[in-house]
Amino acid sequence: MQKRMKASFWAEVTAWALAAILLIGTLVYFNACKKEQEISVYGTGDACPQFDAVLYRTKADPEGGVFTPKSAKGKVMILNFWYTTCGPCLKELPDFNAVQSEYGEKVKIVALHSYSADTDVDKQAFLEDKFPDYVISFAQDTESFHLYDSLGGAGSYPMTGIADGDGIIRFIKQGSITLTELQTEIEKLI
Amino acid sequence: MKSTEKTNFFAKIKKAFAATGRGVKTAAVKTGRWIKNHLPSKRRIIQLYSALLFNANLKGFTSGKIYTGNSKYLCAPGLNCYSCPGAIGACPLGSLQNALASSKTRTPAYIFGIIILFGLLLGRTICGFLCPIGLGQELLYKIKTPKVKKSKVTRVFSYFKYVLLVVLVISIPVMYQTGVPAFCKYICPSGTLLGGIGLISNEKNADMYGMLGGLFTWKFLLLIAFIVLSVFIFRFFCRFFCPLGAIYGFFCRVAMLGVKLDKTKCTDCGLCKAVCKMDIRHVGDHECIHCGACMKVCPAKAISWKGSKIFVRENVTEENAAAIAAPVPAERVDLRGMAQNASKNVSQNAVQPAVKPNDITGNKED
Repeated sequence: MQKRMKASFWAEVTAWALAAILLIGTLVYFNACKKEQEISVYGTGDACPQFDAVLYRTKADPEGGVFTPKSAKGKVMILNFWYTTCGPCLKELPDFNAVQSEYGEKVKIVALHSYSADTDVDKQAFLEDKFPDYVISFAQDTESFHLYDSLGGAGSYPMTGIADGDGIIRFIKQGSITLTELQTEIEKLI
Repeated sequence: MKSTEKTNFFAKIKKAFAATGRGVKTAAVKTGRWIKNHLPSKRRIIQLYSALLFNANLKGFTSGKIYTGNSKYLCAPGLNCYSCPGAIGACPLGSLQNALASSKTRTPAYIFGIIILFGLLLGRTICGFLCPIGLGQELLYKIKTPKVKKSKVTRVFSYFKYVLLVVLVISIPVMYQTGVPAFCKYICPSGTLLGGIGLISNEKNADMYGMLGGLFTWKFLLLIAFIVLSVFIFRFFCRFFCPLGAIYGFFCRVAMLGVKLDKTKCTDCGLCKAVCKMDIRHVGDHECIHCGACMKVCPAKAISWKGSKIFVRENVTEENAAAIAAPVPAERVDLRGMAQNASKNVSQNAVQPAVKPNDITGNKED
């Protein structure tokens, strides 16, 4: 019986030792290794960083293509960050569409889909299904130029950024934005 | 004369040192004894370990950002909000609601499979050992106040979590297919505490304050209510509101780990149910969180861990081999009498089992 007692004692000790190794390994992995590079964050007053975002084929961009901030020079550029399963994001996209129709050539609205959420959703198909008649552009944010993070995004969606005709960021908002708020901010910059 | 004074002086110093030494020794012994009496139980250590393991991304609290790496595709077993800056895995309940909300006509098999796997392997031992919210409530309950005891009323309320499961976790996400994880959104204190407060307490997220509105106020007040009531009512959230506990409770009979009652040894004394702070009808039923408190009070040693025979084997000798093969059922005795005379029961009324499986100081012969 002494042998059995010893066996289960060592089994328990081994179990605790393995558990301790697992915990320490996990803590080290998440905190000490893989240091994420510090991303420069741009705020109001800074020039909007340059980027090349692939456009989805929609009514606004039937051929797709690439969007760069330079192409919106002289216009108020509005960047909205969203993803397909984000309820509040989908709720406010019609307002952006309305604003694009209202102000026409004076504003350029681009809705950039998150690069970290819904990675295996077919966004092209989603857009053709849900927003076939929208006049705003839809593009894809990527990990390489991570515009969402560059504008201060920390994980909450939607997020909206507005830059004036010279490409200087004038407004960033975390969370949903109302139609009235959008119009107010645009009026300030036109 | 001088030398006598000197001797007296040194003698006094010696006495002082000796007294101090004794005082220090007594203090050390008393502290040691206090520490020994207040050592956390193994279950508590596992709870603390698990809370730390599943929230190992400590740098998330300083950076104010949620971890979005690959491990977030895996679910933690307990109610651990995905949006906690420290979380390294996803919440099974949150994943279930989000999967149902974007499921359309497909069954979200992956998340169903993970929850079924957790249920089959661990069942509600997750509640008792691995859930950080369960740990939080137990620690709150330790605050010394008058307590609300369980009763028939609490037993009825314990079914409310099934209502929340059906309405908020399943129905609303399935019906409103644009992503309304209703339990996460309207109720879950894990989300409010770990996700909400975890994020906005970091000044780097100051621009999120504009997002806080009526919904946050509601959830914050609800969180305060859960915290305050958990001080007076044991595991207030777990017993009456947690849909995850409701789900895992379905696996109570088939789960691999947990406590089990050996009916042949049970004398129906009811001590297990009396000591249990959850609303159980039987040991190991769907309300049992497998904390093991009943195991310590059972006079017939009828309650044990499932699978415990793997680690502690009965000592089979010629004399008791027959008894092990066909154990003698215990006598049925007076329920109230047993409960009232708890300490005298073992010697007076209960039939001693023929073999004591946990007796590791018995026969040495193998």
